[in-house]
Amino acid sequence: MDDPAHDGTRIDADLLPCGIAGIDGEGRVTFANAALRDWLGREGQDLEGTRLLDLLTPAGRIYFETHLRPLLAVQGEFAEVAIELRRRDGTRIGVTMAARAEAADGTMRAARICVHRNEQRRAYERELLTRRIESERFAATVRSAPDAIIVIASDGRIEAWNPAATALFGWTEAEATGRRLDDLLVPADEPPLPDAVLAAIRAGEDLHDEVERLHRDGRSIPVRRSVAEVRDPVGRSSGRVVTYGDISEQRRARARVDVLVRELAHRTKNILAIVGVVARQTARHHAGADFTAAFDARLSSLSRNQDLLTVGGGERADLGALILGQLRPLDAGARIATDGPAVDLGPRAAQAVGMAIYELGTNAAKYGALSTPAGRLSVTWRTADGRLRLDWAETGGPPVSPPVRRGFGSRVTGALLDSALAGRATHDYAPGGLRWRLDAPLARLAD
Amino acid sequence: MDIKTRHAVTVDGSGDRAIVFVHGYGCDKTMWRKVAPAFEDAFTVVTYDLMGCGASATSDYDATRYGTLAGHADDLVAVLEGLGLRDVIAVGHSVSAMIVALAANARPDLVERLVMVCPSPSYMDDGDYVGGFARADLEGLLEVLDANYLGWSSDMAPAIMGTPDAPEHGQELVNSFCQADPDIAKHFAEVTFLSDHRADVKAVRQPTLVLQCRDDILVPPPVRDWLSENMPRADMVMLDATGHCPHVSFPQATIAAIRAAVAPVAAR
Repeated sequence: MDDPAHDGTRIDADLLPCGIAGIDGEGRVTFANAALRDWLGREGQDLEGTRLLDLLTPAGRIYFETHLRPLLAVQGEFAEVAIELRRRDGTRIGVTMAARAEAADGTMRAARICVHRNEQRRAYERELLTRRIESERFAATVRSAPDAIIVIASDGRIEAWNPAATALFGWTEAEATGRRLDDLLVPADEPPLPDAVLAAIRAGEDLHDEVERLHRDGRSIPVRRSVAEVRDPVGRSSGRVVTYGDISEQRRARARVDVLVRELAHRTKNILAIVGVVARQTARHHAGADFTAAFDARLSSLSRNQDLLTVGGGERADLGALILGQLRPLDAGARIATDGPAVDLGPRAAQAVGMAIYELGTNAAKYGALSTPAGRLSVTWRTADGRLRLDWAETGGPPVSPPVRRGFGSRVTGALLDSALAGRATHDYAPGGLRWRLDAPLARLAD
Repeated sequence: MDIKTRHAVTVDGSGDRAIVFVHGYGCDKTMWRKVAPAFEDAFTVVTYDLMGCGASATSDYDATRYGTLAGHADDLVAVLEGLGLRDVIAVGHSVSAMIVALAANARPDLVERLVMVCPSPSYMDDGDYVGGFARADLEGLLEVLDANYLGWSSDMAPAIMGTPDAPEHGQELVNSFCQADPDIAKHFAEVTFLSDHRADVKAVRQPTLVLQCRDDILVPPPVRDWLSENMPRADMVMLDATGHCPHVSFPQATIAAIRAAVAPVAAR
């Protein structure tokens, strides 16, 4: 059989479908076959004398000089290199290149180069690169996700386990992979998912719900779960991705809100009851515009107590702050001295003590020491043996005599306070000034 | 890990003076195999692999430390200190010409003399400065590396995943010589080709020999002009050689030029 490409001893390179070229030791083209000239848009021209580098893109030139030429010199050949050739008009053509060098005295004298067009493989490789970047992006997402992300195979074994899963459940990736998810995390008494739900997941519906999962140390953690089926390109299931987010904190917050709502309802009722009492008591001794003013002032006092409790997170108030808050509207400045340690008051005690201080203060301003410029008020307290001892001492005011009638004020500073605090409040109407003492257990105050 | 293992350091020859050869981007210390032995008669000859290349402990490659050439210069200092050498002749090819310059500036006590083979202080065009490449060209290099990474990975995967010592794998590897971890190679390419060391080159105070080649695609004539202007005291020698790797392609010319510059002290 005759083949014009082959005359029996030699092959005519111009008839071959691959690019073939030779270069000398300096990298100049010594011959190039028709296919290569054709691809480079140089039909009918010589490439001889052209630097091989001039047939490459700038990036390709660097790659050739830093990687391929050393390979030719030291290893004598290279193969399967993806590189782009540059046509004269600047357009590019992707090729796979292989070359073999001919050396003498350890120096490359010449090299032969084979080139195959590579456009489709290039496109495929670019696609692969895009996928690789996507996959790296995805891997970074999973690695840094705050939720535990676990991939399980169709047989329920764990295939991937991210750092958040380790943080949440205590098992390292190495310990978890290969184990069955049910063995590792699912409480023994949890019923299996209903068939309808399983069918929906298989049909491609993502499951979102809340369940309990086990930590390595045996404790149960409430989690938000999502389950998604993973499918291969032909639609077969290849496992599932399960995501768990820790909702312990949300659960605790929700419980706290529930408590607060109940507490708020309770306290609102209490306050309304107190307002009722204050209204009735005030009405006994005041009428008309007088009633409005007195009632208003007492409501403000209640409101100041409420403010303090709100600052303390709705639960607590400090005794010193409470006293100052109630006395501040009297605008007595340096005539009032207070001193004592921090004492923690619960909401009930704060309400009761606050009302008492208000009544005492109002009384002092109207009839007592604070009704004259020379009068002084000292409020001091100390704690010892689990009890609070508070001393209200007025001096320098008008002469004092016991009240002729006992109104709301004396109840609030006396019997009502005693019963609220399980303590004892005493009035001493000494002629030099009113002394009022309160002695109550700290435990009750803090309650 | 001791520094010699970390950088696959080899010490040959004998002599009171030491000469260290630092390979450039794209390969490893075997690039010097036709040149370094020629100095063993009169010098202690040190070669090693830059971190991330050749037989270095690539698991130590830290993208922050090696995010600039200073990390590699610190390694050169550590290698010299580890061997107890000082006043050495530091020969750096290509990017390593910058690495030896950084080390020489940081530790003049360790580096007595420099030989820069085909150096460029900056490959990127910048205003009046002509480095020879636009940023897009240099970024294109990263794409070429990526494209060839794929071929690499299919060849290397069995060797990495399975039994790297199995000879059948070793023999099948295409282009196994000079092959580096592709991610490191890419990172090193970025550091090499996108950084600017013009100021560091100007700061070199030690006697310096600059070897250049005709037709070096990485060091076009404007870069040579820049070096002549900004390194007035350096010896600029144009080898009778082409390309970017005269120590590989034209070892005799390279040896002769270095020998002439570093002839034993007594002879000078």
